[in-house]
Amino acid sequence: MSEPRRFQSPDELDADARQALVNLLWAIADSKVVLGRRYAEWANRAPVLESGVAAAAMSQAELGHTRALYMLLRAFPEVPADVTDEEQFRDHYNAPSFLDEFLPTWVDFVVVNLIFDGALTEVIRAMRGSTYEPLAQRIDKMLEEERFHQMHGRDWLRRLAGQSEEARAELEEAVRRVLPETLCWFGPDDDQGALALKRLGIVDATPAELRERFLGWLMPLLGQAGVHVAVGALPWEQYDPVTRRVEQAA
Amino acid sequence: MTVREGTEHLWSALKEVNDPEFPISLVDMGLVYDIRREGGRVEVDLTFTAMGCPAMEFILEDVRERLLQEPDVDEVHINIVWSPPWTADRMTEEGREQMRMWGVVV
Repeated sequence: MSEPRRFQSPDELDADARQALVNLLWAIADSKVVLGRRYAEWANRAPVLESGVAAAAMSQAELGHTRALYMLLRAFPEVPADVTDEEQFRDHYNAPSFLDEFLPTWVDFVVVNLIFDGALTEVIRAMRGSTYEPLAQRIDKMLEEERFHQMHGRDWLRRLAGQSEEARAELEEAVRRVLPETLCWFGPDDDQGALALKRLGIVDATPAELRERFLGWLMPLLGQAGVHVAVGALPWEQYDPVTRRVEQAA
Repeated sequence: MTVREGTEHLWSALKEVNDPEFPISLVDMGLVYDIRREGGRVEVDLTFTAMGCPAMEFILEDVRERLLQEPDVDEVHINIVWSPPWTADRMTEEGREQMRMWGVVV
C-alpha cells in the first residue's frame, strides 16, 4: 500500500477538506478558549486548594492549546483576523452553549472536565499522525498535557459519586445537560467535510466512529461510578454544523 | 542537540538567556532544538515546557534580543516547535545539576 499524501499548507487541500479542517480547528480552538475561561473561574472556588491549583493549570493549558491552534488557523486566509487574535474578546465563539455562562457548581465543573474536555481530547487523539503536517506536529504535546485533565475529571467523578445517592443524582443531572450537545459536537454521521478529512488521513475517524470511541471510554466510567444516564436521540434539529452548537430554545 | 558549524557562538549566546521560572539557561533546559544560520539571518527552533507557558513572549523577546547582540546577526526568526515534545530528558547535565541546587529532582 502506498504512503498517504502528506500536506504542508492549506493550498494543497481540496475545497471540501479545507473548509472542514477550518471548521474543525476553529471549533476546537474556540471551545478551548472558552473552556479555559470557565476553568479559570473556579481557580479560587474549588472545594480543595489542590483542585483550585489544578483548575488554574488546566486553564493555562487550554489557553496554550488555543494559541497553538489559532497559529495554525492563521495560515487559512478565510479565517478572519479577529478570530485568531487570542488577546481579543469576541461576542461569539464556536463553543458549546453549556459553556456560555459560569459553571454554577463544582459538579458542573467536574462533568464538563470529564465529558467535554474528554471529547475534545478524543478528536485531538484522532489527529495523531495526521497527514496535515503542521497539525500533526502539535498533537503529542497537547495529548501529553490533556492526560492530567482526564485524570482530574475521572478522579473527581469517583470522589463525588462515592459520597451519596444525592450526589450521584446531581451528577446524573449535570451529565444530561452536557452529554447530548457534546455528542452532537463530533458532527453528524453524514458530514461530507468530516468524511473528506477521514479519507485524506487528516483525522483518523468519522464523526460516528469518534462518538463510538468516546462513548466506549465514557459510559463504563460513569457506570462504574454508579452514574446512570441513557444516551437518547440527539438534538440535531437545534444543531448548527458551523458553530457546532446546539442552540437552546429561548 | 546537534550544533551546526558556524553556530557555536550562537549556542553560547543563548546559554546566557535564562528560563524565567528557574535561573537555568534555555540551552541547559533543552528548549533550543536547532539553530541555523545563513549569512546574517538566524533561524532558531525553540520549544517550551508547556503549551500554556505564561512566559512565552518574554522568552521569545530575550532570545531575539540576545542573538541580535552578536555582530554577525542581522535578523532572527524563531520557530516555535512542539515535536518532539519537551521532556526533562532533554536537559543537559549542567541543567540537571542546577535544578538539584534549587531542590528539584529531575
